[in-house]
Amino acid sequence: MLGAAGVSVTGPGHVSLGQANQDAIALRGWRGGWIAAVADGLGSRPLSGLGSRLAVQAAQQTIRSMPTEEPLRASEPRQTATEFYRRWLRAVPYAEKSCVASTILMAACGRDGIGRVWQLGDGLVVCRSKGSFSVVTPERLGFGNETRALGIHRAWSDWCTADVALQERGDAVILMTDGISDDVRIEALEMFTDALVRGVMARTRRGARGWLRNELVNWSTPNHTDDKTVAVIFKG
Amino acid sequence: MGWASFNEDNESRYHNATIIRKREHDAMKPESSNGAQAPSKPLTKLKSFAVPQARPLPVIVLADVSGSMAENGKIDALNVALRDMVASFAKEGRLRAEIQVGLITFGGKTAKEHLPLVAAHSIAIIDRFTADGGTPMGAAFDVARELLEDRERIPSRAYRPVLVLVSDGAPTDDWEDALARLQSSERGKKVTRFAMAIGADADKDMLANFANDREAPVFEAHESRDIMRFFRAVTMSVVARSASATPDEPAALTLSEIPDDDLDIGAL
Repeated sequence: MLGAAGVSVTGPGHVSLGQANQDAIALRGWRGGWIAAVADGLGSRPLSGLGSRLAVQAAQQTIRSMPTEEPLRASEPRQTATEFYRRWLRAVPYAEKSCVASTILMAACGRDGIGRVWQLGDGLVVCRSKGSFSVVTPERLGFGNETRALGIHRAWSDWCTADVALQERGDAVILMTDGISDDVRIEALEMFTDALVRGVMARTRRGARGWLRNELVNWSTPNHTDDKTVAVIFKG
Repeated sequence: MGWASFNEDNESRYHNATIIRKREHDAMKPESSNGAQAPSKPLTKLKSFAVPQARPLPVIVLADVSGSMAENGKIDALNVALRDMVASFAKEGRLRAEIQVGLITFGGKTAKEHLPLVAAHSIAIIDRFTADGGTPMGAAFDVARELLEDRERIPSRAYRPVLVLVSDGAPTDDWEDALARLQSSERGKKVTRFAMAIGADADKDMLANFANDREAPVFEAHESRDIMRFFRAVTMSVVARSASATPDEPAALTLSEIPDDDLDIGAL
């Protein structure tokens, strides 16, 4: 059986300025599995949070709009990304879409654990699929806070996608915004993933949310500023 | 329900509510005003996987120490300005980022990394430079490019670095190709570049090609105190960035706001 948990916390940088969280998360059940989406609004601008909220909503709507008789992997990943992007553009109430630019990381897994992930922009997607750990997100070449984003980039080559199969106990797919991924030691990513999945599996969904919130609020990297959001779908 | 149990229930509810509210608002607590460290946060399981250093904000200074800098006290002014800048970075205690300073000098026949990129607060002393020889600026650009492209020394989680060029004369080596390599390199084209031309004979067009900050054209120094003011402006810009909630956003670099008798109180 698949389980899921996730949380989003406002970073100290925005708390100190009295600003709202500009990350967003949507985690919903779907066909006996889950749809997870996290997004990071860019630029600490007044509308940054709107773009990310619309992105996670559009992600949920896009996956749900797929024909029920059609397996998830029957559609092309590019087709789903295109449909998602169109929904997001329609939902943004401004002509200038870049004012609500946002990243998007989304994952969908059916009851059988067969799933797919999509990512545009920074943040990190890691998964343990059939017992094997892998990092879906390609290595970043520039500096921190440089990213691709909805509303700015429109090429399919800007996206990355992968198929996953959560079939062994402890298999999982984890989506996290850069507030977390930039501060996790690269060599410890697999151990981080296992610790996170173990912590979530040992609790109820509500308990896992509280645990994750506590972990992220008490994040140990000195002077961290960013909002932090994580969502995990796991095979229990 | 008796009075005692009713009262106990109220108290326990109040007690729990207080604890929850305290946790909720931990993140909003201001840091202590005397600069002392706040009490350490509770250990969490995921804590051990996080990087224990703040995100770095690298500042790399390309300093001209060629023979012409010996005139009119320019090399002395450069020495004092560098020392003051590093001291200001080191004592700034409210940063969101860890400012790191690297120093590349060019004079005589070659350029060298005089000070490796390290946290400003860990720099005990900066050697005084002496001015001598030609102006191998192109070699300095190559050293800077190699440093910027080194992902071990400047990790991808670092904020966009600042490159500061201070020179008083025309380069004596093949600087055009070196500048082109710097400006077209994967990471070199992304850094914020400031430039200061010292003296009337400086190649300002070349320095204008180097600088890429729209808010900050090439600054010109006619007296040694102008060098001090330029470094003060760079310091304030970097400190403002590192103390902001968004350290990757460029901060304005304006000399006009710095009075000649500046009190050196950092960014306001």
